[in-house]
Amino acid sequence: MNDAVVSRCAVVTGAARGIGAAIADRLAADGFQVVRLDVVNGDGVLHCDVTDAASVRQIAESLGDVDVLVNNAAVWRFAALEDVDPDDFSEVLDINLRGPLLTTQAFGRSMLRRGQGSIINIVSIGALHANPAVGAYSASKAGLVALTRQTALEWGPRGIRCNAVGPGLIATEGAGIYHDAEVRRARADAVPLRRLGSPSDVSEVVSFFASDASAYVSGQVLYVDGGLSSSLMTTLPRPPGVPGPQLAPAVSAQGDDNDA
Amino acid sequence: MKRALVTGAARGIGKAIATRLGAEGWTVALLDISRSDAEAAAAGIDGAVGLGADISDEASVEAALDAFGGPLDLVVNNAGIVRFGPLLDLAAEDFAVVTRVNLVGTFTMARAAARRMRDANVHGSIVNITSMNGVAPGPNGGAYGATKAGIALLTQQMAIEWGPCGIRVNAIAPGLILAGMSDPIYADPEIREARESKVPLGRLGTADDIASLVVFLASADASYITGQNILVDGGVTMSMIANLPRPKSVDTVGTT
Repeated sequence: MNDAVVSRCAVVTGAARGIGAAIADRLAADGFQVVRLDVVNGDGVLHCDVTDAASVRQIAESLGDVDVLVNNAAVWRFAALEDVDPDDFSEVLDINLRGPLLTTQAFGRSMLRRGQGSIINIVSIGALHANPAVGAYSASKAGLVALTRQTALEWGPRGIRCNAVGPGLIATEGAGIYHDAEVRRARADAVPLRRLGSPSDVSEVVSFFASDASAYVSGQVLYVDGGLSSSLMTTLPRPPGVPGPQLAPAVSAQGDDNDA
Repeated sequence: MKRALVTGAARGIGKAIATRLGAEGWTVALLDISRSDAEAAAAGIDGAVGLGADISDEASVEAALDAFGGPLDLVVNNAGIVRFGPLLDLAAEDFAVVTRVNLVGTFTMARAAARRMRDANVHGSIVNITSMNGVAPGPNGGAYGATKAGIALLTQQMAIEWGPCGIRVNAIAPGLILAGMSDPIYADPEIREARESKVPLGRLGTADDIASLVVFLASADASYITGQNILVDGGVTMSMIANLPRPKSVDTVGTT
């Protein structure tokens, strides 16, 4: 965090929009020279398909030293388990799990050579909690958690940290589910902090893992979910007369900061 | 100026956390079972005060919070004790005392602070210090690991009950740290070296590594994080299988 930030380089996949764009913007604000990769076109976005090993390697070779890699690119294909198309299943794993392996190998090369670097994998609360009809998505994110630990274990002795950030319910423009106002409100009410997360909630945590403030943190998954992953019991119906989760009345509107 | 209270702050990790918060511009109260020790530690920090209290005693905690006064934005429940002994022979009293300080004490202080935050409509945060031993039990650790696992669960429960008030509650689980109650372990250079070699990042942690995460969790950057227990351990807790002997045919794979 206190380093001279003149030429530190961060690579972010899936950076054209949503959470990835917010991460790229935050790291740029932190002083990183940010390389934005995506298969979607966008301002300042370099085309990169994370499933294409040769293309990923070529981009890595064209860049100088990389200090931070954020594996954010991911897709999902909804289907009931009995109807999941095996090709969809493979494609999701290809992008969400094999993709991060390829980028970690390619952009990790200069990290290994210099003995420093921080890799941040964007996972999901889906890695922890089953989610109906998400096909391979949750499995891919649970796999990425394991890959995070594998990277931390194998590359830790060579100076590279690897952690994961697990977003909870995040209201991105592309998340169609939150276009329904009723669903949006009901979901926000299920979160202990009583709001949906924003892309910047996630990017702020990525910034922490990219900085030296997390110098001794490796192999961890930090869920950014407003407490949702602790909330199973509050989502179940309770018998009348048993004190519910609303012991503390909600107070004034919650801002984006805790220091009001 | 934002106001923080750190328990077990007379020495070790607690003192480092208080010192770091002071350097970041917080007004800090250092609380310890010994008031004179707390005051001595506070003397080195600009604008800080030292307080004496038994965190497991509600009246004692209330008196200390009254003495600090004003709104409270952050409480770090760091105070904790350990009494070693094999479970087969452990005195019941040792188990009870460790539980009372670590688990009951954390609850008592956190609740007193949260009530004040709620009443003043302060969207504050609470950070509970747990341990890697709350995830991976240490042999002959007595009640220590169980209390730390208990604090981790309590952290989640506080998060779901107090989230609607705007209060965030998280935990930090230190790994092998060269400070505080672990200091005596690392006085032996052989043990120190053997343990360092088992940490993927190749070193023991420092008290400042813990303080850095406290500062982050208390900041606006962590405003959507609550109910989490984060290991600051250089990767050691997830390394069990790597520590097992492997057949010669594979034991050089992946080493440099």
